[in-house]
Amino acid sequence: MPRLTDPLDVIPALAELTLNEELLMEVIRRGEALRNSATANHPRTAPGLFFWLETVRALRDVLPGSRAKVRESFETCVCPGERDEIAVLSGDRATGTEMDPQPKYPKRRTMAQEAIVRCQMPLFSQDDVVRPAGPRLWFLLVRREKDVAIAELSRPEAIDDAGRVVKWATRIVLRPVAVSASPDTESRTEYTEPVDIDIVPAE
Amino acid sequence: MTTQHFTPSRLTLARMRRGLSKIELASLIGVTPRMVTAYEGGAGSPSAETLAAIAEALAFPEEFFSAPAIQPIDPRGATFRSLSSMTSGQRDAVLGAGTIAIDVARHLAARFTLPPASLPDYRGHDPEVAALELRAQWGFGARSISNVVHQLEAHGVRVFSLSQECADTVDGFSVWSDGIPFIFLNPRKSGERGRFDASHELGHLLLHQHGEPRGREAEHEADRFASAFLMPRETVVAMAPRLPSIESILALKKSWGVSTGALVRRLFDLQLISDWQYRSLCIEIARRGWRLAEPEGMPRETSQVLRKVFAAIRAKGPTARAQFAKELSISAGELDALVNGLVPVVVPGGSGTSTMGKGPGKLKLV
Repeated sequence: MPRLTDPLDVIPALAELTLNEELLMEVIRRGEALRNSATANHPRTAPGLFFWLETVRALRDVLPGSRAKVRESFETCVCPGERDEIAVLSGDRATGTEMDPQPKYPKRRTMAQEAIVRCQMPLFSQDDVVRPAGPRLWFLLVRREKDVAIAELSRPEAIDDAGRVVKWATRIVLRPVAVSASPDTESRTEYTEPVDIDIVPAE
Repeated sequence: MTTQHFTPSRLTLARMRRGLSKIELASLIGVTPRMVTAYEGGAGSPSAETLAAIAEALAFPEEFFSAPAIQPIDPRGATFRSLSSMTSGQRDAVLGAGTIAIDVARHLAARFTLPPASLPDYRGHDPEVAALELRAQWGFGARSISNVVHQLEAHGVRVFSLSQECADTVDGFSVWSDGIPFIFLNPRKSGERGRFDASHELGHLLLHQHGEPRGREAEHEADRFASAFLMPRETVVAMAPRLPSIESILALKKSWGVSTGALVRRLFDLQLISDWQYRSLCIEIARRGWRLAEPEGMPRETSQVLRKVFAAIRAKGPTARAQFAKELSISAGELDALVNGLVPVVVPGGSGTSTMGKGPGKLKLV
């Protein structure tokens, strides 16, 4: 399984998907900025949800000629040329490292099933499954480590029936993305009026 | 020849102000420690020569020692927020400066109509509840406090500076004197720390009225009060990110004018971050050196009352400030030390840019 980290390998690999690293980093930056906007008053799932919503949107926004594809709960971005499609998922702690990462599916069973189908791999327990024709599936896996987002764009080769990736075809590791601070909260802050203390000479 | 008018308690006060023991003072002026004890106990008055030596050693005008007695601050009635363990000399210096500041305030109150003290009595209250009630009473609601010192002054608190020699050992201290609340702030602190220190001392004035509890428990309560007073729960919960990064803390602290450390502690106390997140952020703050130098710091808050009264005094003529100091029987330098960092003062030949009013010399915030 090739794990590409050198820019000399990363650049042409991404170019095959009509992508470049800067573009993907901008996509991640936008997603992380929205993740940061989740406050304690938002539901607990807000940070991850905000990140996913904005990253999917940003990917579709910035990739010219791409199109959105939706089946069940599985949202992807089909790259120009229809040869590849990308799903955005949170990655586990192995994301970006030499270890094999695993995606975290928000709706594990449904999405894993879709991933299995999209991955065009037979289920290990059902060898007779017909491989559907269609674009190759890639995962944009992102994990957060303090103020940095670690990401890789990777193509699974085999996924088991629980949705675990048992083999990766290609892993393209991106440079770490520095995460910006929360949206400007200072401008939303209301302050007490200035005090004018009346000082008069005593009689 | 002995001095005709000598006020023994003034010698004690001046010696305390300089943080000297009787033995040290005796050595400086060439008398025995027993004689210093006698002078301070009223059992004897120094000769004119000895008084001159005392005045020189303690850097007070000779008139200071014949002025009417001043009631010294009772150490049991003052709460200190110490940076480290204080020596008795350092504590005496702080209390001595505080006593002189109270005398300055008394003279100012005779010349000007100052805001009357209007602090509620929150003894026995939970600090968080007390902060909430005070914010409601002062009409703040959930808004951030634009200037803590001005709010304190508007409600009758007299704010002065800690003397320079105590700045390494004391964060601040507060005391009630004849029904007037006093707060002394360390002028070397960052703007954010100054606001927190002022709020912390306000907590002591309200919650403890300088009675029980004392020690660590009282300090913890005053910290909780300051935290809730500056950062109301309602707005922190509404604005704090669920996943706070150090960068977001840096951006967010400006909303309440607090330090990064104070905000992280507030998030932890409100259970908005986990123990692990709290420790990680604290480690990161320390690693970046932000405990010693607040990043993107705000300017220190200054005193509106002192600025206005000294402007009014200065308007009476170029020598008015020196005349005022003379009335107090202290040097102009001693007076300046009490307002250090709180009000622009005249620096002879100074090149300060913060000028105000008219008159000779330059005004500079020092």
